[in-house]
Amino acid sequence: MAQSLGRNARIAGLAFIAIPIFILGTSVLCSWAIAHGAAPGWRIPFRIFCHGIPDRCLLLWGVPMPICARCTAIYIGLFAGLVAFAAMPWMREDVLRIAMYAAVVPLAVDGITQLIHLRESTNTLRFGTGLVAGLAFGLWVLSAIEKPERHGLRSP
Amino acid sequence: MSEFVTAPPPPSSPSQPGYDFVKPFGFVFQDRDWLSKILIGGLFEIASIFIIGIFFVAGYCARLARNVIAGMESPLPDWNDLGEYFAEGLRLACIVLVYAIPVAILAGVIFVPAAIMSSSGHDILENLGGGMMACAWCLFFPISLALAIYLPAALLFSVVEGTFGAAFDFGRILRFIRDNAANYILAFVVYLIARFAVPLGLIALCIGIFFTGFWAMVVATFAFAQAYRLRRI
Repeated sequence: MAQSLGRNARIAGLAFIAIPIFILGTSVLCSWAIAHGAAPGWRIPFRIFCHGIPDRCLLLWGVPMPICARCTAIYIGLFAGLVAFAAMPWMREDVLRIAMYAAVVPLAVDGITQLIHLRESTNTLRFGTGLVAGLAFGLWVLSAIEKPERHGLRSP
Repeated sequence: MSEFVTAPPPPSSPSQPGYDFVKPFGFVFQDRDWLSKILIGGLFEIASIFIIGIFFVAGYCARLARNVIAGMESPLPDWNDLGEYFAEGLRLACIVLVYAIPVAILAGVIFVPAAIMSSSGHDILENLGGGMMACAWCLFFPISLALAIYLPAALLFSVVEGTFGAAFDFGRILRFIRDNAANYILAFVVYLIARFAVPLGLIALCIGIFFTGFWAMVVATFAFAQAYRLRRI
C-alpha cells in the first residue's frame, strides 16, 4: 500500500521526534559528564520530567541516568513508534488506538501497584512496560493527526 | 365617566446570558474525541520544553478561543492545520515576548547590580544590595500581577482580529477589561484554579503533569474567550 505521510503528520512527527532525541540525548550526556567528574547536581533539571530516584534508573558508565528506567523506555518506544508509523502510514487509527489502550495497561498496573506500596517493581519490568506503552503511543499519535486529513475533515 | 388608560409596562430588556463559571472545567469532556485531543496536546506541551511546542499549543488555543467566541457547540478543535497553528502561535509568542521585554530589562537593571553588591564582601554595599533586592521584589510582584491580568485580553484581541497590532491597542484593551471587569475576574479565577490543579498530573507517573498542563491551558482559554463573547459593547 503506497501511501505517504500527510502534511500535518509530517509537521507533528518532526516536533514529536525531537522530544525523545532531546531528553534521551541530554540524559546520556548528563550521565557521561557525571561519570567524568561533573557534579551530581546536573541531574536536578531532569526532575521536570521524572523523579529520577537512582535505584530506579539504568546505569550508564556506572552512573544512574537522570531519568528512570520507565521514562527512558517510554522515550525510546516513542521514537521507535514515530519512525515505524512514518514507514507504515497505512495503519488504521482505530486499531492503533485500541492497541495503545491495551499497551498502557501493564504500565499502569506496574506503576500504580508500586505507587500504593503493594509491591516494588524491577528495572526490567519498568523498561519493558514503558517500551511497549511508548511504542504504541508513538504509533497512535501520528495516526490520530493523520486521520482527519485522510478523511478530508477540517475543523472550523 | 372618564376612562383611565393605564400605560403598558415598558418592554423588558433582553436578558444576557450570565458567565458560566463551571463550563470551562467541563467542556473538554463533552467533546467526542477529547481524550485524543488532550493526549496530542500533552505531547506538544512536552515539546514546549524546547520551545517549538509552545507555538503549536498557542495556535491551538487561538483556534479554540475563536470557536468559543463564535458560540460553537463543540469548540475543541481537531489537531489539523498544524502549519496555521504554528504560524499563529508564533505571532502570539512574539506578543508575549514584546510585553515581557520591558519587565526583563527592568529586572536586569535592578537585580544584576543588587546581586553584585550583595556579594561584594563590603558590609555597606551588601546591605544596600539586600535592600535593593527587597525593594525590587515589592515592585515586581504588582507589575507581574498586572501583566498576568492584562495579557490574556491583549492576546484575545490579537486572536479575534488576526493581527499583531491589535494586542497593543491599549485603550480598547483596557476599556474591555474595565467594562467587563466582573466576567474578566471570573475568567482569571478559573485560570488560577486550573493552574493549581496542574500538579495533580504528577500522580500519573510524573509525565501526566504535561497533559494536565495542556488541559489547564484549554480551560483558561475557554474562560477568557467566554468573557469576550459576553462582553458589553
